Amino acid sequence: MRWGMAINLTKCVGCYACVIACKTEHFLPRDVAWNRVAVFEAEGINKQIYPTLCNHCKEPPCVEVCPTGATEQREDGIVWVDSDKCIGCRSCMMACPYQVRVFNEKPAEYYPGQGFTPYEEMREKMYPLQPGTVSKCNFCMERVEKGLSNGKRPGVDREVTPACVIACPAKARIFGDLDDPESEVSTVIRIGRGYQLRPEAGTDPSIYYIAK
Amino acid sequence: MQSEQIRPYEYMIYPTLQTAWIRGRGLLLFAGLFFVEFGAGLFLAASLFHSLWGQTAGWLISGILGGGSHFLFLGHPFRIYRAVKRPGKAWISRGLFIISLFQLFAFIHLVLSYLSMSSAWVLIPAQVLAVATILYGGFEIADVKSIPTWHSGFLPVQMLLRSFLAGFSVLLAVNLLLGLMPHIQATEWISVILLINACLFALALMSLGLEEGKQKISLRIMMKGELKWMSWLGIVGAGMIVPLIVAAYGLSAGGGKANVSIFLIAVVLQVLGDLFLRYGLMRTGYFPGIFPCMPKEFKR
Repeated sequence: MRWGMAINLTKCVGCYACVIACKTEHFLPRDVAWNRVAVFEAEGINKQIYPTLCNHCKEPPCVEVCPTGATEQREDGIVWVDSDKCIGCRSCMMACPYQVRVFNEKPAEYYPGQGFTPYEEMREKMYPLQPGTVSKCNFCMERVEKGLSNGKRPGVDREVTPACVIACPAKARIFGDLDDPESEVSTVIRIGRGYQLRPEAGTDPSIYYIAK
Repeated sequence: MQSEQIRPYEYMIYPTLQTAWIRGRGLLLFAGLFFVEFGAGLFLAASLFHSLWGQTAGWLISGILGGGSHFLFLGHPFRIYRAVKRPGKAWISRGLFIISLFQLFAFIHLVLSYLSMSSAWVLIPAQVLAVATILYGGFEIADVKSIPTWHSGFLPVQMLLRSFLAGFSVLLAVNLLLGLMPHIQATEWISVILLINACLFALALMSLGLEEGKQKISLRIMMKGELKWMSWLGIVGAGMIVPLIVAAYGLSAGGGKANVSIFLIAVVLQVLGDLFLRYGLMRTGYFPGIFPCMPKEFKR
C-alpha cells in the first residue's frame, strides 16, 4: 500500500479551499502553510495554478538527511515528522527539492496585539506545534489511521480522507492507494498521463498532476 | 514567526534562495562551520609545527565558537545527543560526532603537553580528526543535492585546503609578530600561502560558475547583484588582489627587509576574504523552480 494523490489542474479553480482546510484541520499558525497554491502566468501559456503539498516521495531525501530519525517514512509511504525527536537543524528543509517544509517559530497571533483567539488557544490542546522543530503535511495520517482501524477506506469514505481532498469544491484532488491498479487514483493517473514535479530529482513523488 | 517563510502564493515559482542556513538563526550555522573549520585548520597547522599556543587557540576556536554556534543554531539544542549517537545516518550527525571526538582527543593532547608528558599517541588521532572536522563542513554543504551550486565534489577539498592555509597563515603571522620564528622564513612562508590561497579563491569562484551551467544565478547575485560590493571588495580585493600584491612584494623584496605589519594586514584580509566567500556561497545557494513551465517575468 502506498498512499498518493492526483491533482487535476484543469479542474482546480485556485480557490485556496485546500489551504484553508489544511490550516483548520491542523490548527496551523498564521505564517505556516502545509498546502499552497502557486498562481502564475507562464511564457506562451495561459494562467497556471499549481496546488502543492508534501510529495510523500518514495525515495524521500528528507528522511536520509535527518540526523535524529525524526523524519520517518511509514510502510504505507506517508512521510511524517516526530516533533519530539526533531532538533531543528533544518537539514530536511535543505534536502527537500520541493521546499514544502516549514520551520516552526513561536506561533504568531492571527490578529497581532489582540492575543490568541479561542481557536488558536485550542491548538495548544488539540494539535500543538513545537516551536524550534520542522513540520509539514502528513497526509492527515490521523484520519487515515482512524479509517483503517474502523474498516473504512481512505479516499472513498469522506471522514477518513485528507481534509484538502474533501474540501476541494471542484473535486480536483483524488486520494488513494497507488499500489492498487484498480483504485480511482491509479486509474486517473494512468488515463490522464499524470506527471510528477521535478522527476529529475529522483525522489519519485506520490503526488501526480494531470493537465488534461 | 519567521519573516522569510515562503508565502503560499509565491511558492517556488522562481528559483528560490535558501534561507534556512543563512538568515536569522541560520547565520549561527554559517558562523559555526567557519569557526569549526578555521579552528581545526589552526590546530592542524600548529600541531605540525609544534606550536602549543596555536593548538590551544585552534581547539578553543573550534570548540567554543564553532561548537557553540552549532549548538545555538539548533531549534532544540538539548536534544543534540540524539544526533551525536547516530553518526552513520546523516552528515550533521557525523559532523557533531567528529567535532566531539576531535575536541576530546585535542583536549587530552593539550593537557599532556602542558604537563610535559608524552602525547604522541593521542596527537595523531587528533590530527586525523582535525582533517575530518574540516571535511565535515564541506560535505555537509556538498551533500545538499537540491541546491545545484553546492552539490560539488570540489567543495570539501577546497574547504580543507583553505581552512588549513588560513590556520597556517594566522599561526605564522602571530609567530612573526611575537618573534617566535626567523623573520625571513616567516615572511617567505606567508607570501607563498597568500599566493596559493588567492589562487584557491579564484578557483572557487570559477567552479561556482561551472557548476551552475548556463544560468549562473549564484555567480550573478554575487558579482553583479545584491552582494556585488561584498564580493568585489571582500573576496576579490581583500582576499585576492591585496594578498597577491603582498606576496609579490614578500617574494621579490626579500623577506628580511619586508615590513611585518603589511604581512599581518594581508593575512587578516585574506581570512576575512575567506569568510566573505563562504558567506556568498551560503547566501546564493538556490533551489531551482519546480514547475515544468516558468513564469513570464523570469529573466534568465
